[in-house]
This record gives sequence, structure tokens and C-alpha cells, in this order.
Amino acid sequence: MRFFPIHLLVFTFLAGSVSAQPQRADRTAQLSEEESLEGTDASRYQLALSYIRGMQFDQAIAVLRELHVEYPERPIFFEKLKEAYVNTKEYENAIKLLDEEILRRDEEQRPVLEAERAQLLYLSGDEPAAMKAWYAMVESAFSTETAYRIAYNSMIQVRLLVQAIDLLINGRQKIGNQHLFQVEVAYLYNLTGQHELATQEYLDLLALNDRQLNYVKGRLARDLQQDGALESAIRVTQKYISIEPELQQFRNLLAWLYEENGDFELAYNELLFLETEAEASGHGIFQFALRAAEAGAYSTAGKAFQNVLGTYPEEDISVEARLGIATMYRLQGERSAQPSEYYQMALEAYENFLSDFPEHHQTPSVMAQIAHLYQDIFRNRDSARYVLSKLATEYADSPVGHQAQFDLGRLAIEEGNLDRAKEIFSQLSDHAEGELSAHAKFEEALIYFYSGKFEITQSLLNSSIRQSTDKEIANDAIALRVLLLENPPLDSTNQALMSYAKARLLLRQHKIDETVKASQDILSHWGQYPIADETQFLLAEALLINKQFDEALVVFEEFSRLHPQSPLRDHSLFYYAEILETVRGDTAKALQAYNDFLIQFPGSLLVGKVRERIWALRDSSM
Amino acid sequence: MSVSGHSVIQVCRVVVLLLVLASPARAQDVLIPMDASQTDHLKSYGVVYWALQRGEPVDWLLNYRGGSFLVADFSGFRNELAIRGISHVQLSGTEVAQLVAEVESNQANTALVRLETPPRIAVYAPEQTLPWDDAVLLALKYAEVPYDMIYDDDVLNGILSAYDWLHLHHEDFTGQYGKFYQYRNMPWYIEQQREAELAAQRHGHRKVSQLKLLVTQAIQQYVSEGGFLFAMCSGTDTYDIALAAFATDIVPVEYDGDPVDPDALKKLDYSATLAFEDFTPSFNAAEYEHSDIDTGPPPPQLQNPALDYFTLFEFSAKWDPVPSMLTQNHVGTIAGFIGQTTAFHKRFVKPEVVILAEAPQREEVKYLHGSYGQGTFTFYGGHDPEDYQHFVGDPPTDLSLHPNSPGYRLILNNILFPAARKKKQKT
Repeated sequence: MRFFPIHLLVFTFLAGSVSAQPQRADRTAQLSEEESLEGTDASRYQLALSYIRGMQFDQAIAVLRELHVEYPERPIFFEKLKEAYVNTKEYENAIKLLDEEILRRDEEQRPVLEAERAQLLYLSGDEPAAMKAWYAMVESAFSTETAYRIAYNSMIQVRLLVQAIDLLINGRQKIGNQHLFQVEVAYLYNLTGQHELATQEYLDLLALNDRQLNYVKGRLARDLQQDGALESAIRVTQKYISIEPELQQFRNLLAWLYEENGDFELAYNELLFLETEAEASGHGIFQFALRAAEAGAYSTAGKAFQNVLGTYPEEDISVEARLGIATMYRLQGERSAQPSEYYQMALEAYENFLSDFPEHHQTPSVMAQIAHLYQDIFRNRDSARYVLSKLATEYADSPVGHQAQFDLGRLAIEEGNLDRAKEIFSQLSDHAEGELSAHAKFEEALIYFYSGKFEITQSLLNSSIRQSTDKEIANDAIALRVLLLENPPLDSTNQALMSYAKARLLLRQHKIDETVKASQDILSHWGQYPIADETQFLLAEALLINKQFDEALVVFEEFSRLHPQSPLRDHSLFYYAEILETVRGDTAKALQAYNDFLIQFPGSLLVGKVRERIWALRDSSM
Repeated sequence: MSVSGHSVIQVCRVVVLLLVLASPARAQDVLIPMDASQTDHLKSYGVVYWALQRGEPVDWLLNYRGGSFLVADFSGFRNELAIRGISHVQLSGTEVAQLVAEVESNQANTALVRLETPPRIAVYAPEQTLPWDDAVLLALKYAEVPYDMIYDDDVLNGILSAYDWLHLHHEDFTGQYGKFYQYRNMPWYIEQQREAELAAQRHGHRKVSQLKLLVTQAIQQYVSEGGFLFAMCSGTDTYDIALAAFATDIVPVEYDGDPVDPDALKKLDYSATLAFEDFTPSFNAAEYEHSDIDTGPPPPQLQNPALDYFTLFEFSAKWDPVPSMLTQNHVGTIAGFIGQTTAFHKRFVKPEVVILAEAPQREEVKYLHGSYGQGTFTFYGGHDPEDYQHFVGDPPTDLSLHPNSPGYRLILNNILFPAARKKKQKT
């Protein structure tokens, strides 16, 4: 055994590599043996090595053979000679050498040499003789576990993976222990693409020792990346649970596999079973609920959160679960086509949380979420103002407080209190830090714009553009600056642009009908002014918000005819096509409009989007 | 740099000129310029292929505005150009006649080649998803050019005769799994090795190198019978190494279980190869290199996308149309890029092989072309022309960000080249 210690075999396997290096005697022993050489023997040995380095194998073999004949008991000459034979593919000579050496060695040293002999028989092209030799070696070594491992290691070096599986399974039967070689056999099954059988081995390992769960998960995590491996693993684990339903490690593994497969409901069922069976704290189910909500498995996530609430009502984890539920509803709202119901549920959940846990460390962020829902989703300005004022006062010098101030400024604009809004944004642009300061400056510029003070607007926009690193703010600021440059005053009152600015404010205040009316008034009074195309766009935008799609379609359809020089013609045609496609469902007409777009506006920034739509419509019509 | 030995395309200028001018009055023609004014060079190749698929001939104007295309307008063509975002110019009959006369004039190094049949394209690649991209698959997908994927079983079952054009990319024909030994425990490596071993067994071989040799020889047979072969990265040098080593074993024990033949170097036969000779394979399993053909990355001071470049040779469009077609571009100097095989040492390139592009003052060939039997081969060093150094696991390049890539144009030149009308050789 000392020639191939068991710990070395195990290490070789755990390193995960199927080493293809020939078996070698202990390197350290070889080195010390080299050092012990003296006189001409040392010189002759060094000469042989230099021949090998120079690829002069014939000369090396001649020298080594002489040394081996003179000193047959010295392993160093035997090893080097054997290595030289193998390197020159003189397998017959190598086998003959091994045969002599096997006879010379003690019984306990023979298995490694015999396995090596079998390997050389295989390399020489005689696979049947090789197989026979491996099995004979195991038998002569009294069919011990170690003998099988020696043979296994030798076989996988020449990639006889299937044969190695057979050998190890044969070993189990011979030794009478079905639990032997589980890691090795699982590994071999994985290498040969037999994922179901690999999983069986891992499950057998788990059945014996539940502490191997993380090890098995670690092994499987890598194996599951292969095609079909995950499905196989699930199938087999299900089968094992049906036979031994009480083994928790199987269910734990299955829950993990289901989750890897994106099947959260099935994973939850398994976790639930484990929670009822074991001494659990609810943390496992809670973490699972968070993952499920993030992955969009809301129904399962909801059940899991409720389970935590019901099972651990007095524990801290139930407080976290309540917040988790609110967050889940908000996520559902953000991702849903019919969001209002979810937003309402999120609002209630956040408010109840705040009422029950006013001192919780998450209180500021919960208040911010509530204010956001009131202001931007439900347009409940009074409630929004109440929460935002509280936040701004209680957390005055923190980022949360600054953000609340900013939202109060937005609220003031929506309520038409521009002086108050200007005051807030002016303070914020001085006191807040980073992007919020730049954003506040942009809002301040907008207020001057709405008020018809275009020169101050220009100056503040320049400052905002310089300061901002946020692409969206910078783009909006640039767009407004371009609009001002393209619409210089055409009379002393500059009524057209001032009316347009007021109409924009109306839209900002969600006064849609008034926006429509104001836009139409501008068009009837100043239809020939440069601002007319922007106004028509504003009108279309308001009509779209009001779901007046037919009217919006007409506005976009007429846009190019009415404003043949407008830089917005490409946007107009794009929205026209988009309404045809998404609202009217008239794909043929939409396709035609998209095609016209490419002919008319090949240099537009929207070209990429248009092409995407064309390909999508072409695919859907196939 | 003559290609008189080539049996394929020679331009018969007078005939082509007559063909163009004698065509029934073309209401209007469309010129697809391929110079710097083109908005999407890569998709231009695709639309040319699309026109050929519809039976519409295309004239390739070699060296004229970066290798422009001239197409008689037909129903839906301009719409397709618009959809694909390809800039184009409409020409009247008179303008076309003037243009063709200009291109065919003896004073200019330009020529007109008529493309008639869309080549049937096969890409030799495994079905398995590997953690690196394939520049030709990316180019074909982006340009919307159809192709079939084939692999070892298909090649050995004789499918190659169904195709005009065969592409090889990051392949290892020596049977050493790309020499990715450090990745041997990764699932993709395990799967790749398993599939290769099973394929070898299916065809009666114990070693993958033996299977790959058969595949290599089948491809060589395909070329000799008139096929067009284009290879990139390690698909170039490993192909020739495998051919040269047909009588020996150059695969280290780590990959095939037995050592390299001690007489391997003596048994290499360079007469069996396509492009390279006198090279030495690497027998070190841990070295990420197959032989000394590859120059490797440029010196450290040049390992910078801004400094590393290669230049295209300019050929006579009228007398050397094949290399001319392969080097059509809107620039003469192209940014370099690294691969497992980056470029080829000039000293190993066979003298009869035409060098199409090289790194200046470095004796490094980036792009080459040659004939074998009735067919031709083109080798292009490097992995991805728009990703200077592509690492295992890197995401594939998004070609919509590189629609004017000169490096990718060289790949697509190869796609259209087999579409050129075959003419009898000049006498």
C-alpha cells in the first residue's frame, strides 16, 4: 500500500481531475534515491537522463537496461527504464520489465504494478487482455477496497470510464457493500453523461449521511449545467422520496433542484414539509419567499410569507415577512398591465406596517414608498404631502429627507404653487449633493420655463447640463434648450411659446382635457409658428394619456403634411405605426408604415427600434 | 503575387461589359457603395446574398469605392435595403454605362465580377454550446446569410459535397480539445470530450485524434474537388498540423492516454498540408499553443488595440481577381486582434500561398489564400475582429455595434467569393 497510499487516491479524485499521467513511484523517494547514487553509477544514470532530455531514447534505454540488470533491487533504475520504454511506445518491453519486477516485489507491492501492466496492455492495443489483467489484479489482492481503487485509478487514466464503472460495481458485489465507491461512481456517471445514475449515487450517499447535503449540492451544481442533467436529477430524487419519504435531506435537495428549475411552487411544497417536520425558525421559508417574489412567482411567494406570519407571529421574522409582502405587491404593480389593485395592496401593507412598527429601522424607506404611491400612482396629493413633510422634517439632513424635499417640490408644481416649488428646488440645488442637486436645478429651470421666463431658463439649463451625470436629466435639459433656441420670440409678447409652456405645465399637472384644449387653441392661433409641431405632439401625447387613440392616430397621420420641415416627423410616423400595431392590431398597415419610415428617415435615431418591430412582425406573420 | 494557377474565377472583362450593357434596358440600377459612406457594410453582404437567392445577378465592382455592388433594381429590393439599413444610390442607365466603363477601363485598377449563384454554406461546429463566440457565425447571423451547421459525423458521411463553402473556426483538428487542459473539470469541457470520444468510437477509433484526422482528410478531399474552405483562429494551424502528422502521434499523454511518438518530428509530412511547412508541433500539454506556426500575441508594447494592426495587400483587380475579392475593404489598415492562433510566422508559409495581409515589419501573416486541387482555402488568424482579446466565457460580440467592421468584412468577402461566375482560365 505504501506505493499508492489511499489518501493520494482520494486527493486525486477530490481534485476533480482525471489525471492521465502514468503511475509513478513516490517522487520524494525517487529523488532521495537519486541523491544516494555514487561514482560511475551516478554518472551513468545522469548520462541516461541527458539522453532522455535529448530525445535519444534508444541510447537512454541501453544505459538504463545495463543499470537495471546490475542493480535489479534499485527501484530508480526500474522506474526510469520503464518510463523510457513507455515513452518510446515499446509496450512489450515495458510489460516484460513489469512482469519481472512483479515477481521480485512483495505481495503487498504488486497490485500497483499489476494495474500498470494492465494499462500498458491496453495501450499496446490488447483491450481484452488488459481488462482480464485488471480483474486478475483485484482478485489476487483479495478483492479489497484498495485494490479496486488502484484498478479504477489506472483505468480512468486511459479514459476507460464505462469499464471503470463496471469494475467498481463489481467491487461492491464482491465486497458485499453497496455503499462503496459512491463518489467515484457518481463522478464517472457524470463524465459519461448518465445523469440519472449519477444522481442515484449521490442520493445513496445522502441517505447514509445527511451532512453530505452541501457537498452533494456542490457536485450537482456543476453537473447540472450539462444538457438534461437537471431534469434527470429531479426525476430520480422524486422517485427516492416516494420510496423513503421521511428522509429530509432528499426533500431538501429536491426543493433546491425545483428552484434551480424555476419551479417555485413545487420547491415550496417540499420546504413546507421540512418546516413542519424539523425545528425550524422560518428563516428558510422567508428567504425562499423573497427569492420567489423577485423571480415573479408571486402566488408561491405570498403563500410562503403568509406561512411565516402564521407560524411565527411573535418572532422578528414575521415583521420582515410583512415588509416582504408589501414589497412583493409593489413589484407586482410595477410589472403588471393592470397595476392599481397591487399598488393598493402595497400601500395598505406599508401603512399597516408603519402603524404597527413606527420605530422599525426600515421606517424611513417605508414612508418614502408610501409617499411615492400616493404622489405618483394614486395622485392623492394631500396624503403625499403629509408623509413627505413628516419625512422632510424628521430626517432633514439625510438623503431620505432631501429626496422628500424634492418630491414636495414636484408636488408644488402639480398643485400650481410654482413659487413654493422654486423655493424648494433652489434650496436643494444649493444643499443637496450629487445628482439630486443637478436634478433640482433642472426642475428650477422648468419652473422658469412654465412661467415664460426663458432667458433664466436657458441659464439654469446650461448649469444643470454641466453638473449632471445622469443621462436622462442631461438629455431632457438639452431637448428643452434646443426647443428654446428653435423658437425665438417672433413678437414682443412671445405669446405662442408662453402658451405652449403653460400647456406643458397643464400636462405635468395631469390636467389632460385642459392640455388638449390649450394645445388646440395654440394651433388655431399660431398654427404657422415654429412651435406648432411641438404643440401638435403635446396634443397627441395628451390624447394618448386620455386613451383617445383614434384622435391621436389622426394627429400623427397628418403631422408630416402639416409640418414638412419638422424634426419630429420621424417620431410622428413611428408613433403612428406603433398605434396601428399595438392598439388597432393592424399589422399589415403597421408594417407598411414601418417600411415607409425606413425609406423616409434612414438616418433617424429610431431606425433600430423600427427594424426590431419589422422583424418581429415578419416573424409573427410566418 | 500571381494567381495564374487558380482554376476558378478569371474576369473576362469584355464579355462582362457586354453582358452588363446588353442587358434589357435596366430601368434603374442600385449602387451599394462600400466605401466609408456605407452605413452598414456587413449587412450589405447579406442583401447581396438575398438578391442572389432571388435569381438577381449582382456585379461586384472590385476596388471601386471599397468594393461596391451594382444591382439592377427589382421589386422589393430598395425596401429590403432600407429595412437592413444599407445606404445606396440609384443610378440611371447612362450613369451605369459610365460607371461600368470607368471600372473596366485599363487605366484604373478596378474590375467587374458578376455574382450569380448564392453559395451553399456549411459551418463546421459542434452542436454543443461552447463558452466562446465564433466570428463567422456572428457575421453570418448579423448579415442574415443562411447556413447549415455540420460536424464530424456529417463530414464523414459525405455531406460536404452538398456545399460550396465550408467554414472552420475555433476547432482543434489535432484531437487535443483546444489544449484547454486547465478547464478539464468544467462541464463544457467534459461534455466536449465525451461527445468527441463517442464520435470516435462510432467511427471505430479509440482516439479522438484519429477521428479528427479522418475529418481533416475528408475536408481536404472536398477542397481538392473544388470546395472553398475558410478557416479562422485555431481552425487554421491545427488543420495543417493534423494533416502533417497523419503518420504519427503528436498528442501528449494528458489528452489521449499515451505519450507522443518519440519519432514524431521525423514522421511529419509537410507535403500533405495546405498552407504551412517546416513547423514544429508543441508536445507540452499545458502549453496553450499547438505549434510554432502561431506568432502569438504581439510584443507587450504593441498589445494595444490602438497600436496593433495589419495591412492588406492591393492586387490587380483585372489580373488577380480572387485575392482582390478577398481583400475588398474600405480601409487598407485593419485593427489587429488576438486568438489562440493570432497570426502565422511567414517562414512557415508555403511559397505558393498568396499572402493577403500581414503585420508590418513583423514577418507575421494575418490572412492568406491558396489553391489545392480544384478548390481553394483561405486562412485568417485571430479569434474575433472586434474583440481584441476574447477570453473563455466572454459574451459574444454584438455586431450591431460594429456594422462597418473592416475585420469582419474580410470574413464576408469569403462568402461571396464562391458566388462569382466561374470562367475558363485565361490563355
